[in-house]
Amino acid sequence: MTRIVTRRNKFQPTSIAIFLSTALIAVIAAFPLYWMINTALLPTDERFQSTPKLFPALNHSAGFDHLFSKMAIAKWLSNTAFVAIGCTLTSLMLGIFAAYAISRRHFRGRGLVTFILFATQMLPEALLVIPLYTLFVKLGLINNLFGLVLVNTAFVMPITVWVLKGAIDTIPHELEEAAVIDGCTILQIQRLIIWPLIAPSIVASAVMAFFQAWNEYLYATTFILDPDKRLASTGLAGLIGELVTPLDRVMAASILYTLPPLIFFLLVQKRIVAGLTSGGVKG
Amino acid sequence: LTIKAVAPARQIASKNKKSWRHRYAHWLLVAPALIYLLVFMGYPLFRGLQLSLTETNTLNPNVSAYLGTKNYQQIFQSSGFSNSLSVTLKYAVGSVVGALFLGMSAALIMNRPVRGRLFFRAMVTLPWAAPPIAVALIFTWMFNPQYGIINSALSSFGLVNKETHWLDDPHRALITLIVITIWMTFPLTSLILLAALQTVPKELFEAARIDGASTRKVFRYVTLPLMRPTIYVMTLLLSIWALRRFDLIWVLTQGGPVDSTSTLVVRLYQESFAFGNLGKGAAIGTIGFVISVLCTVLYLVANNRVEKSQS
Repeated sequence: MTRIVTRRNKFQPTSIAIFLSTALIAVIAAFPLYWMINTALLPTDERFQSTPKLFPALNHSAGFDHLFSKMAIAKWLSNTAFVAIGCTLTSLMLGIFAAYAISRRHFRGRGLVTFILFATQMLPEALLVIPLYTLFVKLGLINNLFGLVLVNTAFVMPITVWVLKGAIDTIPHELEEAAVIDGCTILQIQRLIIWPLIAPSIVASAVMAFFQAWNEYLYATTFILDPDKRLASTGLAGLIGELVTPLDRVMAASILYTLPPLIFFLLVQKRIVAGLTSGGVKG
Repeated sequence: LTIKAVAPARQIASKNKKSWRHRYAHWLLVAPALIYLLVFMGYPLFRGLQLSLTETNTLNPNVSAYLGTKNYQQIFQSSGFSNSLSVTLKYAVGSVVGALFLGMSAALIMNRPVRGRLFFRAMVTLPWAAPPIAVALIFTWMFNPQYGIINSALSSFGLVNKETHWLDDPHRALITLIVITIWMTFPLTSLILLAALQTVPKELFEAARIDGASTRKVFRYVTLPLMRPTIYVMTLLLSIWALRRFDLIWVLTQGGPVDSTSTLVVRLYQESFAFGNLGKGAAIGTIGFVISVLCTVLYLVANNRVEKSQS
């Protein structure tokens, strides 16, 4: 009993300070997202006041009510989802095998492959957008959602390889050696041993690939001109500075657009950081 | 009977296969990814460098006239370019230093045991997951001169005048942009720094404490040197991201007002897709790429020095 009391006396002032500063940083980080929700739920007349209301009227949902009838948001989101899912699958398919080879086989040229993967991260999207534009005009991939899948995969797949390689590195070799003796092929080893063991990292890199395509704007705005094929990033960006669409509706739409990556991120947050730090950051 | 006869032959075949597989399997596994990168990054990079030496127009992007280094000469002579260069530099330095500082503070604080630590950590890292376009939308509204929350909060403390212009004022646009960028990038920075912080053995801190070092000294002589490699990598990544960033800047300011936020990438985009000069745009992109490579070289040199001093 006495011990607890002395501990409390000793630690309380600092722990309150730490609690407050943690809370302050959390508020800085989360406030704009809260404000997005707040704005979506405020009626127009209350929004245009010199002192904005800090708390939303929860019974006001006009922003959400007309979202699907008056805006093309459903179309935009489904286009975005198509590109994001396509990009996720393609980068996993390409990345997982490459990651296995780089992690397990110490072949000649391995250093070069690793360097190429790393070097792609230095390439600015904006430099590549011009030649890719000329290439896609030639191939008829302008106004084509598959074109965006291809481009996004190129940018995120090296990261996929990096994260998965870091995960495969941690699996002991003995497991595979036993499987080889039992007569497993390389594909069987992947399917039966490697994939189940690195499942959390596969999920994390899938989420990162999804992010890349879901959030991407430059290629989406340059390569897609047809309004029917527009992605959410371009569609929403077009609403900025435009006063035709009511603000609560704009904010409601951007909440819908923000939610999927936010949820995925919260689910696999720890894995993403572990993946980035194990493979990429320590080099 | 047939099975018995076939079995040895099969074994030999599979053995040969296995050794063949063993020798070349890794290339088969790596090839798809490598070819993919060659087609969608290697070729465009080469083609981009080539285009930068030509006059090429968006109307007819696959016909170009060779110009030599004329694009580069024109770019280096224009006053807009030196402006872009200085804007890019200010933007990069401001956002990198800000993100590192705030990220480090957040990491140090989150490393302490606090009630509800996991909840706080989730909150702090939220901005990283938010799409840049959504971020641009909400901050446009928050920085609105008449009705934005920022002005009404700051003016109620008497810090700024009511109806202060932020993103549409040539003197404040860049700094506003840097603040928004820091908000977006510090969460990931702090997560990665926190991960590095947690690998520092606790005994080191305790030993320093016992020797009577103050909190500041522990940070200066124990924490910081051990985290230096991670800080260097984060500096490199943040710089490259700052050099590459387009979406946020374009949607918030389009490089304006009066070119006060016109970074190299924004200029490249305007030159290529607003004015249609793909060749000149590619030349600006090449210059940006060279700057990225220089940053990486600088990082490798710095990192080498750290490794040498540690060994």
